[in-house]
Formats: sequence, C-alpha cells, structure tokens
Amino acid sequence: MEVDEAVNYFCSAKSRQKFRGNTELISALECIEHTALNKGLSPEHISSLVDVAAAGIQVETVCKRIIKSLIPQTYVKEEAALKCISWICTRNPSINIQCLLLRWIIVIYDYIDTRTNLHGMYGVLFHFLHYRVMMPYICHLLYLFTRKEDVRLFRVRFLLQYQKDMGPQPFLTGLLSIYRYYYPSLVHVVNTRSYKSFFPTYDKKWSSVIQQVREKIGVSPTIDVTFEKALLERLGTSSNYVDLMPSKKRRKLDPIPVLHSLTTKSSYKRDTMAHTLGLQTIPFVLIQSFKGLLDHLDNVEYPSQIGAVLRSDPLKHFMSFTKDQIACARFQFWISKTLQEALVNSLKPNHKQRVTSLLKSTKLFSDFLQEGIPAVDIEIFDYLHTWNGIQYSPLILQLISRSRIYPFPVLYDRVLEPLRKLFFSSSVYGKCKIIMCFTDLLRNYAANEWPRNQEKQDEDTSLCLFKQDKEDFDGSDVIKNIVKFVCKICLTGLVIEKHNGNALFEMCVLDFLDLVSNMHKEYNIPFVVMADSRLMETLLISCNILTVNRVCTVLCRYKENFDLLRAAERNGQLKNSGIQRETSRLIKLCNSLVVDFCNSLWRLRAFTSTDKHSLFYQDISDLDKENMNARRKDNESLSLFCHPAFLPFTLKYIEKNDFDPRINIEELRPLKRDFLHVLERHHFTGLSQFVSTFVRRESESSTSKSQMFGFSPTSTHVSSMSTSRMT
Amino acid sequence: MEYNILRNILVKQKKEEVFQVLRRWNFLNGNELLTLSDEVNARTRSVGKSSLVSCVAECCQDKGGLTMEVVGELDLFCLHMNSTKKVWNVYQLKEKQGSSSSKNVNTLPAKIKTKLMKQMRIYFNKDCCVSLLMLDGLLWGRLYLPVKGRKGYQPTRCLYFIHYPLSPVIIFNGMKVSFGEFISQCLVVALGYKELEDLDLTGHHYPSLAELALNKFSEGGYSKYQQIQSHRGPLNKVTSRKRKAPCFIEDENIIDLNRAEKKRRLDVLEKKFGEYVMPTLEKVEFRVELPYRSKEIVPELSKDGEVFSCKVRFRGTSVLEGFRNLATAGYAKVPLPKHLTCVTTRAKNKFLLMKPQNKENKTQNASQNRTVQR
Amino acid sequence: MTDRTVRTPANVTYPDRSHGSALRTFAMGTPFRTPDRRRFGPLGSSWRTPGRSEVLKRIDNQRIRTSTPRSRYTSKTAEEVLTEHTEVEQHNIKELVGKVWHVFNLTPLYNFKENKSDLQHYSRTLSSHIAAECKRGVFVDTSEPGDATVALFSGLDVAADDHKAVLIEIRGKARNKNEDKVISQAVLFSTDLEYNPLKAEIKEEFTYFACMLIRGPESVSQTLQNWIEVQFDCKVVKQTFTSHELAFMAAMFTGFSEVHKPLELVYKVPKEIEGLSHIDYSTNASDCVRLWNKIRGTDSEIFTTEEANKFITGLESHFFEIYSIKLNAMQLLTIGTSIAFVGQDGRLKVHAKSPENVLKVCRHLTDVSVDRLTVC
Repeated sequence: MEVDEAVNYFCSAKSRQKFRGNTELISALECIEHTALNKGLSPEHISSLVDVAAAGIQVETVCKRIIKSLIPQTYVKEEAALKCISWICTRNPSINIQCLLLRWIIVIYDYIDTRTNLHGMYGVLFHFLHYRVMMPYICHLLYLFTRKEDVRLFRVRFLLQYQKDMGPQPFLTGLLSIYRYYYPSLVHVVNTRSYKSFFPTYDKKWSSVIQQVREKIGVSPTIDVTFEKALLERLGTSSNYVDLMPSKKRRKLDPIPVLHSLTTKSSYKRDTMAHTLGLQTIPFVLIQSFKGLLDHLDNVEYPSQIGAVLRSDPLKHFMSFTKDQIACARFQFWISKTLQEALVNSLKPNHKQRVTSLLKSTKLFSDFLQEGIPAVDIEIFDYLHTWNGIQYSPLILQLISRSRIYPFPVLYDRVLEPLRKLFFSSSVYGKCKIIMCFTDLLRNYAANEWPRNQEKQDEDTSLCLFKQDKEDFDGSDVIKNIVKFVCKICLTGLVIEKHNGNALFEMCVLDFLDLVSNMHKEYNIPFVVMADSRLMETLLISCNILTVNRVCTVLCRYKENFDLLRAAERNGQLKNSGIQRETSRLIKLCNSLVVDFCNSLWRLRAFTSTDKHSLFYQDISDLDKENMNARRKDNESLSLFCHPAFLPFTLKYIEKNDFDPRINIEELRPLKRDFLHVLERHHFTGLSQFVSTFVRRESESSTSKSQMFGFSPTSTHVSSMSTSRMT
Repeated sequence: MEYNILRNILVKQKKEEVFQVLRRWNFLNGNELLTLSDEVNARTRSVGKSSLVSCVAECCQDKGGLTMEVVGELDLFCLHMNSTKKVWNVYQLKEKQGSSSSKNVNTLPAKIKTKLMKQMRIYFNKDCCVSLLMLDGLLWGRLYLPVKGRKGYQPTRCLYFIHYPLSPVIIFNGMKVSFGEFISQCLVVALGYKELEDLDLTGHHYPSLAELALNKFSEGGYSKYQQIQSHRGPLNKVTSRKRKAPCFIEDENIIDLNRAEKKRRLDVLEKKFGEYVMPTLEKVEFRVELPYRSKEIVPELSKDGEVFSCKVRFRGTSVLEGFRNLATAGYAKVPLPKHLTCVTTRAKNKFLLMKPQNKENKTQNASQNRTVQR
Repeated sequence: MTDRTVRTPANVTYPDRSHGSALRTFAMGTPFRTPDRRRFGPLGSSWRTPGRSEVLKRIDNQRIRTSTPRSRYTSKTAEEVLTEHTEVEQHNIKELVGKVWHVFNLTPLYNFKENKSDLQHYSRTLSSHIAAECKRGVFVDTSEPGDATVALFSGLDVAADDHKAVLIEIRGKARNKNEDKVISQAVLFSTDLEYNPLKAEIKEEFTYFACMLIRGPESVSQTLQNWIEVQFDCKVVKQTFTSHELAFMAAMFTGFSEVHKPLELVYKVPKEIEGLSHIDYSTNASDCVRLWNKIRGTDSEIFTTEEANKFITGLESHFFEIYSIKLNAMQLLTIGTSIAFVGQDGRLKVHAKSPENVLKVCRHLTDVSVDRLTVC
C-alpha cells in the first residue's frame, strides 16, 4: 500500500473506527510506519497526519503510533507545529496525546523550517504552564525559543512564584536560566546545573531514530541557524559553563571575566520601551561569530564586564568599530589593575600559567588593534624596573614592541634604560632577544605610530581606539634617537661578544640595520636615518661572510633610499629644508663609508692616511716607511681574497681552478669579478650588488649617479683601475 | 568521672602517640594492649581519634583500679611527650631546711608524695589529687585542685611542676594567683625548703630553662669551667651541643676584603657566647627607661633630662641563638651590649634597663655582675 | 579671608620628580603624584596646599578638569564647614573605630547609581548572590549569611569631589544561634580627594571610590568582592603597604597627638637569621610626640618623607645605641599608634578618639590609593 493512500485513508476517516481486526487501518498504519522508518515522511504528509492524530477521531493507540512515526524526510512545515499547538488549545485530544505532541515538537524542533509564527505562540504556550503534567515539556520548548523580548516581568514573577511554591524543579530552573541570560537583574535564582541536567532527554531514542533515518537519506541536520540555536549549542556544549557569578576560586584562576549580560536594572525598562518601538538589543552573550555580529550590528550591547573582550573576537571587532570611549575607559581601568596585581604578585609558581595567558590575550588584543594600549604600556614600563629579564620574557618584549610612541626622554627612562641594563647583563641569546625587541619596536613606530603622531588632533577619523591626550613632540626625533641608541649598544655588544655566538648576534644587528636603512622606502618616513658608521665598519671586519654580505646590501639600500628621498625633495613633496641639510650631511657620511668599503674590499687599499674619521685611519708617521711590503700586506688584508670571511672561499676557488696554493694576491687581482660570480653562486649576492652599484667600469658613462653622491674623482679611478687589470 | 578525664587527656594527644603513651603508662599490661589494638583495628579502616579514645577509656575502666592518681600519671606521661606545648615558669626554692646531709634527702617520689598530700590536706579540700613520677631523673608532679562547686573535669585547675632533685630549681605550669601561696607553702615544706621565689624566667622548652636557672648559681668566672666540666666530663650523659662550625667557602675567584673583620667578629662572639648552642628561649623582654640617646637625630633631646621609655621584645624560636646570628650576619654591632649577652648568666626573661640612681649599679637586678651602661 | 584666586608659586621650589623616581612623569597616569609628600593639615585643606598650584598648571596643560572648590567655599572658611558634623555623621565615623578592617583598592565603578530604587536593587542582587554561594557550599565553616543592604553612608565625604560613601552590610546568623546580626561590613569611600582623577568626558558614567574597607569572615569578603566586580565592572585589589609606607604612617600619625596608646613598631627579622623572628619595639606615646615636635618645627600642611625618615631614624638610632642592633636593615611588619594599627598585608584598626583624626586616616588612605590608580 502506498503512503499517499494510507495518509488519505486516515485523512478521510471521519468517524471513529475500531482498531482491532481492521485490516485496512492496520495496513495503512503499518505502511505509514514503514515508510517513516525508511525514508521519512514528506512535509505535507506530516501536516495532514498531525491533524489526524490530534483530532482524536481514531483510537488513542493509533494516534500514538502515528505521532511516533512522524519522522520528517526533509523538513517540517511550521504550520504542522502550529497545528499541534492549536489542537492542544482545543483540549480535544487526551492529555497523553497532548504531551506526546509537545514531545514531538521538541524532538523535531531543529527541523522546522521557519519559526516566526511560532514565536508568536509564546504567550499561548506560557499559559499552558498552569498544567502540571505538561509543564516539563512546555518549559523545554520555551527554553528552546525564548528571545530577549519574550522575557517579561510578569512571566518572571510567575515562574519565581511557582518555584517558591513547588520547590525548585529542574525544568523551571532551566527556563529561568535563559531568562537570566538576558536580564540578570531580574532573575536572581541559583543556577548550578548545566543544560543537560535541566531537561533530561526522555526522548533520546526517538530523536536518535530520527537522526538515523535522516542520515540514511543523507540530509543535513538543520536548516538555518538562528541565534536561539546558537544559544543552545553554546549552552549544550560548554560543559564547564559556570554560573553568572563566579566563585572565588574561579576569579583567582582566571582573571579574565566571562561574557555576561548587563546587570543594570534599567536595561529591562529600556528594552521594553525599545521593543514597542521595534528595536531590539542583543546582549553580547549571544554573538557567536563575526557573521552574527554583522547581522545585529546596530543592536548589540556591551557585556557587563568589559574585560571579557580578551576572550571574544567578535567583541574586539565591535569595540574597535564603535570606538566607545566609555568602554575603552572601563577596559583600561580593569587591565591596569589586573596587570598590576599579576605582575607584582606573581611570585608563586602556580600563578605563572595564568599570568602568561593574561599577557598573551593582552598581546593578541593589542595586535588586533594594531596599537598599543596606554594602560598596558604604563604597567609594563613600571614592571620593567623590577623585571629580571627572564620571567615571561617573550611576552613582555612583545608588549614593549607594541607600545605607543612617547617623547624620547620618557622612552629612554622607562624602556631603553632598563633594557640596556638587562642587555649588558644577559647572555648572547638575551642580547639577541633584546635587539629583536628594539627592531620590532622601531618597526612598530615607523609603521603605526608615526602616522598616529603625525595626524592632527580632534580629527574624527583618528587612527586609534584608545585616545590619549597627546603632548606635542616630534616623532622624528624619537626615531633618530632610538636608532642612535640601539647602534651604540649593538656596537658595544659586538665587542663584548666577540668570542661567543657572534654570528647570531650579528644577524640580529643586521636585521635592525636592514630596517633602519629601508625606512623611507617601506614606511614613507620623510627622512633617512643613518646608522652609526663605526657599527658598519665593525661589521665589515667580522669573520662571518653572511655579515659582510649583508652589510653591503645595507649600504646599497641606503643608496636607494637616498635616491628616493632626493627625488621626493626635488618634486617638492617634502617641504622641510632642515631635512635637506640633514640629508646632505648624511649622504656625506654614507659616502665616506662607501669609500672605505670599496677601498678595503675592492681596491685592496684598506688603510688610509687621509680620512681621519675612518676606522682604517693610519697615521703616516706611525708607518714603517721602509717596509713597503708589510704595508702592502696590511692593505691587502681586508681585500676580497684575504678578508677572513672570504678566505675559505678563496681557498676553494684556488683549488678549483688548480692554482698554485702559494699564489700571490697580485695574480688574483684580475680574477676579482670571477670570484664575485662564484660567491654569487653561493647566494652571497650582496657583494656583487655592492660592486655593481658603487664601482663602475670604465666603459660606462658616468654622470648623474656620481653627482648625487658627490663622489670624488678618485672613484672613477676605482673603476678604471680594476677594469684595466681585468682585461 | 575518671572515664571522662581519661578521654579528655588522651584526646589531646596525637592519634599515633596514643598507644605509645599507653605503653609507658603501664596500666594496661602487654596483652591487654594487644587485644585493645586489635579490637580497634578490627572496627573500621580509619578509626577516628575520639572513637579510639573512647574505646581505650572503656577498656581501662573495665579493668578496674583506675583512680585519679593513676589518671594523673597518664597525664604526666602525656605531658612528658609534649612538654613544649605548655609555657613553663621557673621558680627557686630558697633556704634549705635542715642539714644538707643525705639523711634528709627527699628524692623518693613516694615519700615526697605522702608529705605533699599531708600538706595539701591542710589547705585544700579532699578532691585534690597528687601524682608524682620520676622521669628521666626529674621529679614530675601533677596537682589537681578542683573547685568544689563545679562538676566535671576542670583542666584549668591542674598544676604541673618539674623539680630537679637536689637543686633549688622547680618549674611550674598553671600556677594561679588564687592558690599560689598555699601551693608554695606545701611544696617547700614537702621538699624541705623555706621559701619559693619567682625567677621571672619563662619559656616553652624546660630543659633550657633549667639549664639557665641551674647555671646561674655558678656564674661569673665559673661559667666557662662549668661548660668544660659538665659538657665534657666522662660521666656526663648529655650529648655535646656544640655548634656547627661556620663554613667558609674557599673560592679563588672571590676575594673577601672583609675576611679579617669577619673572623674577628666571630672570635668575639665565640668568646662571649661560648662554643655551645645556647639554651632555647622564646621571648626576651626589656623595659627601657633610659634617656634619649641618638646622636644624629635631635641630640638635644638627650639633655632634656626626661626619660624615653619603651618596651622591647625579641621573639623567635630561639632568641639567644638569634642574637648571635644577628651579630654574625652584621645586623648588630660587635661586641654586643651586655644586656644581650648576659641573659644566660642572669637567667631571666624580663629585664629593666634604667638610668642609674645615686650613682650605684646601673641595672636594677645587678647581684654580682658589674655591668655598666655607657 | 585670603583671596585664593592667585596661585602662582612665588618662591617655593618643588622637588624635581623626573629623576630617580619610578613615577609617571609624562602625560599619562595620575598627574599629581608625590608619595614623598602627603597632606597633613586639617581636612579640606587641599586647596590651600602650595603643591596645588603646580597641579593646576599641569592639569591645565592636559585639559583635565577638576572641580575647584573655590566657588563652593567662598563664604565660609574651610574649617567652619568641616567641623559641622551632624549626629548621623558622627555616629558613622565612630562606626569605623575599633574594628579590624582589610583595605582594598578599587578602580572606578561603572554605572553606579545612588537613587533609592537602585540601591535597593543592588541589595537584592547581592542577597541573591550570597544565597547562591551559600547553596554552593562556600560558607561551610562560618555563619550563614542572609540579607545584604547597600546604603549611603554620610560623614566621610569632605571635599567637593568626594562621592558619598557607601556602606554594605551583610547580616546573618551564627550556626547554632538564632539572632540575626551583622557579620560583615564594607565601606567604600574617598575622603578629601584633591582632584577627581576621572576625565571630564567619562565622569558621568563612573563613580570613583578610592578605598574599600571590609571586615568580616574571609569567605563573605570574597563573595562581596566578586559581586562588586561583576556588578560594576571594576577590579578589586588588596592593598598592601610597604615598609616605607608603614614608617611614614607611623611618623605621620604620631603627629596627630593622641597619646592613649604607645607607638609600637614590629620588625620582621630577615629569614637568614635563625632563631629570631620578630622584634617588637614600642615607645611611650608622649615621648614620641616630644621627639616629633622637635623634628617638625613648622606648622606646614605637608608632611614630607624627610621628616618621616628623621622620626623613624631617631627611634631606630636610639635603639641602636642601646642594643647595637640595626633596625633600619629590617622590614617593618606592622605599626600601632594611638590613631591606628596598620599591617603590611592591609589590615587596619582605627583607635583614634577624635572624628577629625579618623577622617585624616581616611584621607591618607585615599591619597595612597589614588596614587596607585592609572588614568589614561
């Protein structure tokens, strides 16, 4: 027998038919059951069968069996549920059938297609709470689809009164807990259980059968996710959900608060008024994801404890979007005291974990906002004075590098000085970490803080969330001084760490120099800061080829940046004449460095007696006039071939080309370019870049480039000498 | 009644020590103890202390022969095990009666007990009870003097004392003003003296107190002699309490510029304090009534003529050791002033430092020492 | 009555705070922060202190508005205003005396309303929170707490910026008894604030109480702190006093010239000294006052660290001369004066006999708390 026939049979039956022996009825029934278990019933069938079952025409067992077999194939039409409820209103079906109908609605709740009209039934359903037998099911159902506007004071009162009379029942507590979610100020009930204990699923079997059938057909479980569903999921899955008011232990264990709704009394009144106007405010508790936030952007309200922003990403988005200064003030007060407490009292070892997670979340928030939070800055800077450099060191250093820009004397006192002390008293790895912190700090200043500093105040489109009364100071001064400071300590560090772990430290220093040299190009800083020339020279004479390589690239980059700067000046983009003078001076410095490098590496004339400021200055009177050989050897000692960094490669080169191992440097001179190629093949391209940028072959015409650098005529000689040898 | 008292006493003990005490008490002989312990263990896995104690008390009561005196002896055994829990006051018996010949030696506890009971009958009612024991060579006594009107066990009316035989030192706990005079009268007569005097020496550790009190009577130049003789003599059972030598870490890389100074400091301290561990005192109190002495701040106050009165109290686990350690570590200037080093010889806890009156000895309880306040 | 409109500091030099002190000397944090000088004179004298003008200068630079009291008190002298304590206020001030309090610091409270219905609402919420905690079994050992009341508490607010103090009382009954008595109290106050640390744009939403005193069992105290934190989005932190601050307080309180209790300083002997744990040094109060009078000649209204140091050093050197023990190398654990007993862990017991002095203690606590608040 076909399902349609069976359904029609039942629908058309107008009078009570006897059950026993009625083969037609039984076969129809069995057909329906069979189909339901295999494929599920279509929505129309379900709607009609609901009518049949609830009408009470058939015998009760028949109705029961029908209801039990109402397994949806795809979805259930909303009207089916509505019909159920309306039949219940008529009080026509017996009480058992009514309960069964309610249970059915609960079981297939997820599969109802739309629920808009169902929400309208809230009042009706609430009315049924008077009937004791149905109460658990009604409570469960109401729990599933209560929205904020359904929470009314009279309903709360009724429930509380009932609870007082009847004693606490799990289902009542469950429903009250939802109410409490929305309006904690209205409901003051104890809530120590979880969702599962409120409504023990008495119909587990039923719902599992439904799930099986659906899986068999291969239908996705739910249609659309409204936020009530989201709420359910949240409540259901978070097994360690705690009550609104945390216990003392929890407060100690995890200082970051959980999201709660606002606890103010006035919010209820305001919301009822708003509701009549058609507005709706959603407590942040219900926002699960970014999409949810977008959907309800106009209606969301902040949670009761703003510290919860450290836990919830959507709230971070919301905070940065609305730029609400009150929320920012709340957050800053809270974070400053929390950090004070955490960092000052973190002497016990079991606190370490929680302080680490607190610092981590703070850092994540700061990274998200891409700005430093002033309160956090203050607390970290205070902590630096008593910090031992080891505890929480990665996080503290990261938070420092995220800090805001301050006038240089302040920055020096609060950050640079303590870090300097730590720098000189730590191992080479500690030193590297601190240099990396400075690199990140400078990068942050160049990228984020510089624009912030430059923007005018009182503009509405300010770049930062946490507004701060700004003192008028010049950001460029800070940047220059930072570079100077870091170069100084790097230099000292290099000297100290000559023997241990040098390479790593030099790499970190070079990272810093890379950043400094490229600041104009990458971050549009309208000036170029020249690193300390002593530092560069010291790096030149290091024993590590990587260092020498990178130092050359640094110089090339400087040239690029100077070029760009000059071009911008000529185009009239930068109006500051002071910068121009400064730039010229710096270019001269750069030039002398370039000359030094060239001389030592390429021209084999490391030591000069002319330039007093160079590292390679040798007073003429000191020189041994007779020993020309020795002098030549000295001069050659930093050349491309004899430089200690390149020596291994030179030897290999000699070996490869089968030269005599005791070959003279003079004979190798013509092979300079070839050697450069060899090095290039080993990925040491810096030298080639340097040579190609600064050393010109005789054949090329030389005009604008050298003028910009103010190269003395000797430079042209540089190229000419080398090329003549080559040919 | 005895049942209650027994319970009361045993409950204050630690659970593990109950059986130890019972063994020492020897009221229940070995077999009975065994059966008792079996019975107790058979009951439940973890027996609560109160139920254990009730069990024991029942057993004792069933045995019979449980008098107040015997119970008092149990109390004394308990006390002997935890003597540091109570605060002891040292008294001195004065003016020995009779000849000092051995005839009149009252060292037998039984004899002393009878004498004491006789005396106490005069002053106290019949309910009072005396228990005396000789433990470790010392006479331990317990006097229980209940107030007549009240019922039940009154543990606050117990007076415990420890007497060092053949010496005038007696240490009390629980001495009350109400019966102080009567008790002293009883005891002095029973032990053969005329008077009892409070020495103002209190503490938790009675051997130290005794040592301080006993050595007082051989003070001055004899103290060093005392140390050598008593601590090194071949008949002496007391194990030497020599101090641990301070260790100098010899490290070539560290040059200690102050080494000579430190050594000198340690030498001075050793001379003053001796090479043995100091007796344990928990509290040393001073009442200072001297004029203001500071030289840097407001020195003109010292010329005011008025006294700057203050009270100073040093607290700790072993205050005398503490003084020495303070000086070793540099918190105190060496040499330490007399009033800190003379505590051992003075055998007192409470001192009064006052300005000299009539150019006499400057400390009030000078006796033989010539200390001068600078 | 002097005209107070002109405030330029003519010939007074101010200590340069930018060197050596780990204080915020730039535009963030509390703008006026000199823990080496504290107010000492009569209450309500904050607008008479010479340090104030510097505050105003800096404040003007940063556009932080404070309510200047000039407009309020032009007709009367400050002293006249302050001595008018009503009966209720006197009673309230006396409430603080004689009980052991724990001191806490608070950040500003958000959304604290003080009209009657709101206060009742807070009472109800707190009561239900306590009931919830009861059910959870937190108060097993102590007495069962029952109802709570939140009410305003007058008498502690002196200056214009002070908010009326708040008293929270929790009643309950002991386990075996039946009467309902007050088992825990909390007072939130800020007395004689020199300026309002909140910025103008957020002042309406926040209420600042500098200090909170709680007495009662520890578990009830924790519950109360939890509730305040969640209800008003603030952070409650235990206030601890350093040795230095305790010494300062000892010296300052001696200056209030009450002599019914001796000045007791309890020093903690460092751990490496075995055997000795504490040194209690108590001096007769009148002798202390004598010393104090000699040190502090002037009648100024600021009490500085130098004076406090002098005082304490005087006592310690007197001790040194007698005992040769250097007390200045040890930490102060608790101090007890005729005015108050203060411990390092934030315990406080006020003994002062006159209400003025009680308020001065409150003012000092307010000062200490305000210094620890970060304002951005």
